[in-house]
Amino acid sequence: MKLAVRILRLAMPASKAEALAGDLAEDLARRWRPRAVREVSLVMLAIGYAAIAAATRAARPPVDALDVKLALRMLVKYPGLTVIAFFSMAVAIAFGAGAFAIHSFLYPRLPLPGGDRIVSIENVDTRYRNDDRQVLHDFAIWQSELETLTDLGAYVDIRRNLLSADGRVDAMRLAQMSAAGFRIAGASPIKGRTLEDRDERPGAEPVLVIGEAMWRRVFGADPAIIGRTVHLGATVHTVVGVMPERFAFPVNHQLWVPFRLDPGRYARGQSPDVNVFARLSPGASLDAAKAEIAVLGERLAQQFPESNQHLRPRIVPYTSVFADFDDIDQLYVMQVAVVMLLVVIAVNVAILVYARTVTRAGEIAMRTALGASRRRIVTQLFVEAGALSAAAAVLALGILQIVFVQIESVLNAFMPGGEAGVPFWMDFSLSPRIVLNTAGLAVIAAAIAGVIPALKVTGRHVQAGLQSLATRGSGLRLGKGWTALVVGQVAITAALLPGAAVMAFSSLKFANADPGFAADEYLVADFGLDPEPQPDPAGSTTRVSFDTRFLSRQAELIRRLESEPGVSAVTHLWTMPGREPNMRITLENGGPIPGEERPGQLIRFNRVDANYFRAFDATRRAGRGFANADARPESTAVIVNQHFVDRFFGGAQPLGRRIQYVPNAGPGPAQAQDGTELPGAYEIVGVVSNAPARELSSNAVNARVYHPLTAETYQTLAVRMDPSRAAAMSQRVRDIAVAIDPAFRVNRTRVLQEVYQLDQTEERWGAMMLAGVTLSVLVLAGGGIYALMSVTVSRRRREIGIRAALGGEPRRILAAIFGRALMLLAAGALIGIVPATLLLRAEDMVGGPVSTWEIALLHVAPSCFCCRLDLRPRTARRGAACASSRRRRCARTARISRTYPRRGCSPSRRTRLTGSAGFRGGGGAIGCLAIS
Amino acid sequence: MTGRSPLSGPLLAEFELIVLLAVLQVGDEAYPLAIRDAIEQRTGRRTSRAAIFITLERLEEKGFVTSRYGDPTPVRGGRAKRLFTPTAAGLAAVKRSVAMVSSMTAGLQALLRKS
Repeated sequence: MKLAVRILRLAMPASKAEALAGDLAEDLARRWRPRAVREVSLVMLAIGYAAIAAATRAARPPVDALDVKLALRMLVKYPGLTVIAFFSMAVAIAFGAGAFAIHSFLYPRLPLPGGDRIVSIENVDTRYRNDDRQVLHDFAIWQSELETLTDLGAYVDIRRNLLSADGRVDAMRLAQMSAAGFRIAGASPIKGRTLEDRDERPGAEPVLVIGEAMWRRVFGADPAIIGRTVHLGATVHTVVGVMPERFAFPVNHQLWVPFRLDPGRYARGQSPDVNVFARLSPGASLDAAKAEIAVLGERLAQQFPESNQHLRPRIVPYTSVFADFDDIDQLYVMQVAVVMLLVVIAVNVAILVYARTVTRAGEIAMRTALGASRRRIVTQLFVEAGALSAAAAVLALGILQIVFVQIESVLNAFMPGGEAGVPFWMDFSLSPRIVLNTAGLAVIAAAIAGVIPALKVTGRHVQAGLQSLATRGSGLRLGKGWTALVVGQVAITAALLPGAAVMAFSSLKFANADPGFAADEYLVADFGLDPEPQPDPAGSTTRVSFDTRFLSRQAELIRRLESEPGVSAVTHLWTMPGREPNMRITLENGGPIPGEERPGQLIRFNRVDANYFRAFDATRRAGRGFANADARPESTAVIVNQHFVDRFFGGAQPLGRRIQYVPNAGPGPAQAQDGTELPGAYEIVGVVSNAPARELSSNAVNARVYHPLTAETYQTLAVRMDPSRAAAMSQRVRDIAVAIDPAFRVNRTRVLQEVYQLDQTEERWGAMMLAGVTLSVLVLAGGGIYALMSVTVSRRRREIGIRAALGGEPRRILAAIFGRALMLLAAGALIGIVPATLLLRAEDMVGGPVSTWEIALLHVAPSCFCCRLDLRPRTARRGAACASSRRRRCARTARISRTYPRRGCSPSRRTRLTGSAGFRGGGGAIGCLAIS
Repeated sequence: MTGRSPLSGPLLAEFELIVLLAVLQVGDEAYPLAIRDAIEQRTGRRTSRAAIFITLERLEEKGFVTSRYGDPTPVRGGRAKRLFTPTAAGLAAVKRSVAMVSSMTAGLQALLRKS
């Protein structure tokens, strides 16, 4: 009988199991006389009934409305915990889901027929591990020899001036693409035809295919568009087709011209950047294609050692070449790291929930004694955590939606021309997959935060809970594992918080920075010239010719702009002030700098023309400015700003001193981001005042080195003008450029203020995200410590009451209660300081946007905050409450108080003191100790 | 405007109705074995313990019956009986189900007698 009852209890509460076993025993007694037969039958029947009950239960939903109602009630009852856990979980889930979303943005299944079989091919330079796309010659060989690939084609991104019939000029982005691109995408035109192989032959008529959006916007949906001629730069093209709006292959294009690059006209390895795509042949696998091209790559390396010795071709999924990850493993590592963040946060919430659950041990033990199964109690605690994580997941989805909208708008803003926005395969909506991922993360968070504490409390500790009912103290404690988690978390907080806070503070500081000059007076534009005529294989002659053409048009543009009304200065520069990249330099004969772990000092690099300093109000402090003679690649003259002089020369005269650039990783001399090499020493020939006067980004470096602008690095035109004429000037610059030469184009014009605002928007978002994580970590650290203290007090509340009633000094009682916990927390903080300092040094934060003493403060701040968080509510809020409603619970302790009256303490105060000892959770005791 | 039908509300499945009627028939001592005996006596239909057990569980879940524990008896190995009592909702459900059958059989008596 006992065995039968045990079996039945596996599937139902004890009372039901007992009654059912009784029914079965009674029924068997009616039918069978032999006791042994009855016993065996009883066990067999018990197994059957247990199976039925389990199956019936499995068919029912595991959670009912009552569970949800109780869960919501508990969330309301503990608002502090609810708020902390809610926001922390929301941030963590948002990060986790965001990390997965990045993967789906960067490596989606291409939304084309058989999209998973479309691939990209590129060469990788094994020396630098970067891609090399000057593959025009290799492309021709791949096209003719690879058998595992079909529809092998290529495209080149180009820009041309599109001259509309109404005289409007727009610099348009085009794909000079093989006809294979249309075959791969499997799209049919809504008018006319697509590009065909015959269009790529030399001498074929220049033709153009346009997208539907372009057809409507630029050509007014002209029904007679097919056959209409269009000026693209200096060349007249005939429109032969209109593609549907959803078609944007290869990236986000709306204009397509035939791919006509002739390898015979370029030296090997000197062609323009070419992007190659293909489809895996029917029956061919990606591995087979990789193997085939690897063999071909080895052969080409031997056949053309000068150009291909270090190049190895590789085949990757089509969208991979657009993702800025060298290795997809990096992305997985990032995702794992983010999920770990979620786990850490969920564990922290679990500590908090556990601490709360500890205070409910009596309730849980009582329910268990009344017949509630362990599953029932665990389910209810899981639902409580689930309600929390579900709400957090909703907030996380809201955060993601806002972030996605911002990312899309920023990407669109950065897309030159912005004709069609982000790549066609990127979907920034909250897809079902993202929602599913978010739900999955919420379940993981709920499982960690709800189930682990529940299992802990309902396990062998139930007995302790029952005992606590009698003793009115908590029989449960935070074990070594939980304590280690709290200490570890304090260590992590101390390690990460200073760095994150520094970054967040500095980003916030610059998110609303004023450039210190009238940035709305500057119109900036980047421009280009169509490469005509085609270069010869030697390249050099044509390059000189191209440069000559470009420089003459540039000079003419400047001359005409300077004579425009309202224009006060025109200058060329490589990049805009405030956006210069960092480089490392050493001073010739300057010797090593003490304490510098990496060689060289950071400066900001730019190339400017002779007018730059005047245009940006940078006055000359010493030496000379740039002259026309400096505008050549071999020039060694540089001009530095006052910050440079102050930092490296202590304000002393630097003219004639020489600087050298520290080479980047890999062989060869230092290379600037403008693509030029900086091999030798450069002499300081002049000093100018700081421009801009204030920094605009969190980049801590403000020492600047200016090199003379050469024809090879022309990038940006800046026109200083009357701000009210910005819109008119934007169009005027385009008109003047086209009037000089239809092939001379202005790609994009913007007021400098807009550029800065965009940068600041990025800074602001970055700062907000960092601040969110930082705050989350800080709050959780406080929560973890609060949990530790709360459980400690909860366990010892009776002792606290007795000691207080016997006249113990509050300070000594506090020290006794919190001493060990504070030691542990101090250990955690000390453990975290070392990696924090290393992190700050590695990221060059020390001495940068914040000072060293500020960093020291940031080390101390988390611990202070957490301790304060722990003590304040207990002292302030609960102190007053302990005198009234819960006094009766403390009758036993109050008796002790009467037995051992405290000297100099009024009866009401004694009652208040001892009454607090029975306060649930023990917080009241501390409160009373504090107010006494 | 149509009023609320007197038959609206949850109805009982056939075996649920039989079990609930048996609970009413047995009265205060309605525990599974007594209920099974009552059904067998009145309908001549053999019924398994498991069916009774599952149905009673379901009726309790739906709120049509409540259970309490009686005194232990030696023949049951000292285990208490689990005694079932219909709730007001259970009685209402029985009324609805019976009324539904009556309503559907109204006018068919002659036909039903013949067959």
